[in-house]
Amino acid sequence: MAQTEKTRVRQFIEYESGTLLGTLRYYLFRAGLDGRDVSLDSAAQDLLHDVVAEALEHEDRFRVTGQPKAWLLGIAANLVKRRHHELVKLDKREPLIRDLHPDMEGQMSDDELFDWIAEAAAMTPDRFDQYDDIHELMASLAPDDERVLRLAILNGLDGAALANALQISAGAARVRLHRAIGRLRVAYYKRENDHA
Amino acid sequence: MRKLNARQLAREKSLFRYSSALERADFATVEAVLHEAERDPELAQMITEINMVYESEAIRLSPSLNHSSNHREKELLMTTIVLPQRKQPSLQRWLPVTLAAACVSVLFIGALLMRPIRPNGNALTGMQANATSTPFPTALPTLVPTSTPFSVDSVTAMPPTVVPPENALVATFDCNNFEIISEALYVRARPSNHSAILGQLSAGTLVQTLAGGIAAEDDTSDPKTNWSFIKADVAGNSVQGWIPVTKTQAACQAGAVTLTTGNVPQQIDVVPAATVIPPSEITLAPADSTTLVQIGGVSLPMSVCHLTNQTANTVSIYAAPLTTNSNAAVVGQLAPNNGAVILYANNDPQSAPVGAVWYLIMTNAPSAQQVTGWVSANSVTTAAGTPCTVDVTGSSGGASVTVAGAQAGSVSVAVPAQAAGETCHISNQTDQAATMFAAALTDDSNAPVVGKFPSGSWATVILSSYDQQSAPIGALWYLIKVDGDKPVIGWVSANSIGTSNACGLENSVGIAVPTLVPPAASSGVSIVGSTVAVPASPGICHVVNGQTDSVPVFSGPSRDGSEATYVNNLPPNTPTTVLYQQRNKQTGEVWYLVLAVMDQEKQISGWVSADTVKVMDQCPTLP
Repeated sequence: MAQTEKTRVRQFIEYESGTLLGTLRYYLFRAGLDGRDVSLDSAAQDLLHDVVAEALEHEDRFRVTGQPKAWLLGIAANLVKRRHHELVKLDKREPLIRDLHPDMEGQMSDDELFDWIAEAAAMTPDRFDQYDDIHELMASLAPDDERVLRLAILNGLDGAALANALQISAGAARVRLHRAIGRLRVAYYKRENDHA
Repeated sequence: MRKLNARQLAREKSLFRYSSALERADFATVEAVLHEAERDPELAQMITEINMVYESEAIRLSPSLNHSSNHREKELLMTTIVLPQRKQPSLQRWLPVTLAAACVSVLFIGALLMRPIRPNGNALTGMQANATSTPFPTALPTLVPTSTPFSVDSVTAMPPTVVPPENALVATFDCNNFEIISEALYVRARPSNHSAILGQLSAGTLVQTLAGGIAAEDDTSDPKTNWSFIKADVAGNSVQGWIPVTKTQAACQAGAVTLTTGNVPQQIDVVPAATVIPPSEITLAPADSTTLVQIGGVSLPMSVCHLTNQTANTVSIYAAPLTTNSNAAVVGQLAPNNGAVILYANNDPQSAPVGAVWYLIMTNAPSAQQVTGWVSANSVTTAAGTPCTVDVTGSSGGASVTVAGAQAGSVSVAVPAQAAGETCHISNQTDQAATMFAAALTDDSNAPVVGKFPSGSWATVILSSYDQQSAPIGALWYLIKVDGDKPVIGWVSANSIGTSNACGLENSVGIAVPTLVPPAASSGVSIVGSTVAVPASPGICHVVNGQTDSVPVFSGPSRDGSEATYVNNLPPNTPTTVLYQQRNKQTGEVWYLVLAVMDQEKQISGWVSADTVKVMDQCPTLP
């Protein structure tokens, strides 16, 4: 492994560990691994320590063209996953959060759902106007969700363009869009169940 | 429509997979997308951007309960860590204090919201039915849940209509800040014609101006005008909210005078022709007669049907069924074993089978105040042996039918009767866990997930929120507490749990609370732009930061960093509701647990020192 690659990873850890810590805190929060016997901050610091230790141990696996943050977060995601399993073993009564989550993914995968929206976005405006199915579903959403979805479809699902239209940051725009799509899936299944 | 190139679309798709996987804590998928991002700087950048959004959400969590968005956290984020040292697990010392404060806050908000708004009620209010005896045979001020004769935008709440006395209102009072309404108008939650309607006042109604304010940004009144926060007290019914100043005229000159208003144009509002077929579980016995009820001179058919509160608890009477307006105010109470006449029934099929049926009743206890309002069928039962009929109109077919059950007095509801004020529980009746959010998504579509409500389990309902604009889907949300080793408090959609048993709890947001100004000092006082909406509960008193700088808000009643954390700032001139107060035993300092709702319903909650704020009205004395 070239010295430059090592330097990149180490430099990233040195200068970006603060932002990394923020993301790790969110991962732990999302995974439900916070607040058990240590605070979220402490848990995030522990995780960061483990990520760094793991990264330095396997520094040679980092590719010269790779994105250090994505690599480190990937390690973190793996560690979170491992901790989750350990926790479940320790406390068998506590189910995994993902096991508790409505199994929408199993009925229509995220990829399928996104492709469905992308298909609508790829239509010509005339054809889209005649696509009653999605219009009906979107109309059943909260106005904000409907607006975000319509703008996103209008902009070909381009998050940056959506952000411009909404006058918010690209990250916030994409988060809103993803949640709106998620709720569209819920509305879709509700309608299917109602019809059934 | 614009087309993205295939690569960019693939990135957006990967990003969607990433965020969806994060939402359900599927870290295997998260890892897979991150692996992809290692080779794609643009995707990595997009992930970084949405991570920043998620992180900020995690920090703020629930606005009223979270105390983690503090300086210490921000400093931590900005600290450069070369090689982080493992931190020994240790509980933060202030954590129990924070949790206690949060619990106290939740309990108080809940308790205050469940508390009847006006326990004494009005002395002589009510529709006078021919069949009942009443000491005053004339039409009296009436409190009737009603449809509105006006065309308005974004009506989100329809509390009672207050109709002033037909002829004379004679009162002696200090007329500082008293005005008379010059034309019928709505009382609104904010100084805007687009805000929720809290009540309706007829021309001639006497109001007291508590504060003045400029119009909110979304006000489209033409011409634009200033607004007044008023309090109207008609026959004991207190209505508070914002009205345009152009719709009032001075009641009198300063000083104590006797005011007489005569021949006030009377606003007649007809009881809504609502009423839907009660579900099969509820059977009402047939009537032997139908009489007419006089409402403001209008005769309406009324079927004689009585109910009795057969529970051991006092039942709250609301201005509207909570299934249609979760903000409905408590207008009275029905004591155990007391009876009332059923005027109408209303069934919300979406709320079935529990909490769906509500009765519009008129109390008829001898020697007691007469109250008209709505009670949940869950909280009462019809009186055995009392004949009754309710003319109802089916919501689906629209046909008028008469329900005439044979079993007099037999009422069966899916869930045992539950009176308002009792702990309300709700179950997830679906076969899937429901996601709990930090806020109702109707209020904040970006609200983060805070936990799960497992299938088949029960939770305690703290609040409910109904957003008319989101109806019929996703409109009703509950703030629930799921018990367990690690109790979780969060909002869950009624849709996601397959039930909507609203246990008579009211929403915490959107109701304006007056900026209280002591009458003596209120003359000439104008709090410009104080468009503050705080929970319906008035709290124990109100304070304002009268300083030029913000004052610190802590997670507990202390400045000691080992006991409490600095969590927020209370901006100057922000009217704030005190939910609870406590003396710090070490320092002797009095602290207030406060809640302020800023623009866009951002909330500030926590403890402020009594020394840093100015009391607007009188806080109870601490021993």
